Amino acid sequence: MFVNFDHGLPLASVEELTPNRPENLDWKAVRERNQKSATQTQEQSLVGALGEIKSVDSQLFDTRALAKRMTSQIAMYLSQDFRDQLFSQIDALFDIDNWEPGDRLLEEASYRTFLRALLALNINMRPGLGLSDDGNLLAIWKLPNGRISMEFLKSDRVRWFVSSVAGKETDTAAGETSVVRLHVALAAYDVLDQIALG
Amino acid sequence: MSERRVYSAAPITEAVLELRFADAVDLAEIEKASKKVAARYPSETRHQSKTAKIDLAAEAAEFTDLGISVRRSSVDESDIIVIGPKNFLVSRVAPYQNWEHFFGRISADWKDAKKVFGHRTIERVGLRYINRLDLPQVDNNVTFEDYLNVFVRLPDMYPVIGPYNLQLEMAVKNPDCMVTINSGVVDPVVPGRVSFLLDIDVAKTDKAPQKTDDLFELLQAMAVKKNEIFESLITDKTRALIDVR
Repeated sequence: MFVNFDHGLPLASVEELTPNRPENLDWKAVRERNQKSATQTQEQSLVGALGEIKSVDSQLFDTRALAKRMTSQIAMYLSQDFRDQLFSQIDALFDIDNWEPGDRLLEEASYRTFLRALLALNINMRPGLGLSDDGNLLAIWKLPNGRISMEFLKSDRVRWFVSSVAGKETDTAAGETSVVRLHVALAAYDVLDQIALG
Repeated sequence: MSERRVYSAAPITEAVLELRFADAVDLAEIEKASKKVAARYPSETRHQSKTAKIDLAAEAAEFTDLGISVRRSSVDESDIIVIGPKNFLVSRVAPYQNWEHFFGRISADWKDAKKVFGHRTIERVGLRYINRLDLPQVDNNVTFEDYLNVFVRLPDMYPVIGPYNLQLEMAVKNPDCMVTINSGVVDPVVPGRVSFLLDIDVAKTDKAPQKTDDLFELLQAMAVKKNEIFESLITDKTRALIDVR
């Protein structure tokens, strides 16, 4: 017996492609029920943090904590060293001393795409991290002969830019694709092995 | 005692110890216990819990205050403790190290809390391990029977099924506990794989131990039982999958 899914597509697409799906069942609810945290299932309760107006410091704390909690979902696939360095960067990126008024906080959907890209490309090289004006996570890898940068959008989409130096020539390329097709889009450039090896 | 296996990419997303009390602890004691463990868990948030009964016919709602819980966490958000009016919870999210490390935290945290609480009647002891198995797809299909020994089985006229959710409860011996197993499909985390939940909750409500030494002895036995159950529910193909780093 099989469970049928399309290759790595977002959930909405999985639902569309799953055969024999009884129309009267809410599969999203089934999955949500399955993946509740243990700390959420003890009571049928409404739980909210106290205090409604949060300081910038508090919002930054929440952002750092959210990123770390999300990372824990894939932590079994990361080396301790990579995880520690990633968390140091997250702490620095969302530090009150580095924060400018009007800066956008991290978009949760963008960070999810980033984590999935780490796994899809088996990335072991630590990137430099930044944040776009829209709150999307930016990553840049400096390579011996060039660099690659990515902006992680919601819904598994990635905007990428590659530049490589060959002698006196500099070649550049850019594109946008999904996480699962990122390795195809970047295959023509000598970057995948480098960021995978670390 | 069966041999314990340690996996390099353990699929445990969360391990939780929960003690439930017969009587509520007041907020002052919760805050005092929270301070005791603050060095290990520097981040603190507070949560107000309420239950709501909504009567749609009368268009009325009735709220019951369940009190304030304090949640503390380590800097990396991996180690968590929640002290509530009627429960005490120690949790570890991935990466899970090993039972000795987790039990060490439980032991230290409970001893600290007990200094504040004094004697509290424990109604329930629960040890829960939430595993997520990221199974590979072949031609957009997952043959989950190759990886799991607990799954939904349908007649041959349904060769392909969609996401499912199952729950079963059973009584076990050594120690005498109730075990609740939840399994099913969860949101895929790893591109190209399908994620299955394997959630094992071992709990004791009948004659729950009240002395700390008895409690710790029970927890050791529950951990062994949990491992036995986990190993019985997976196949060698899964073992190869989670032991590769």
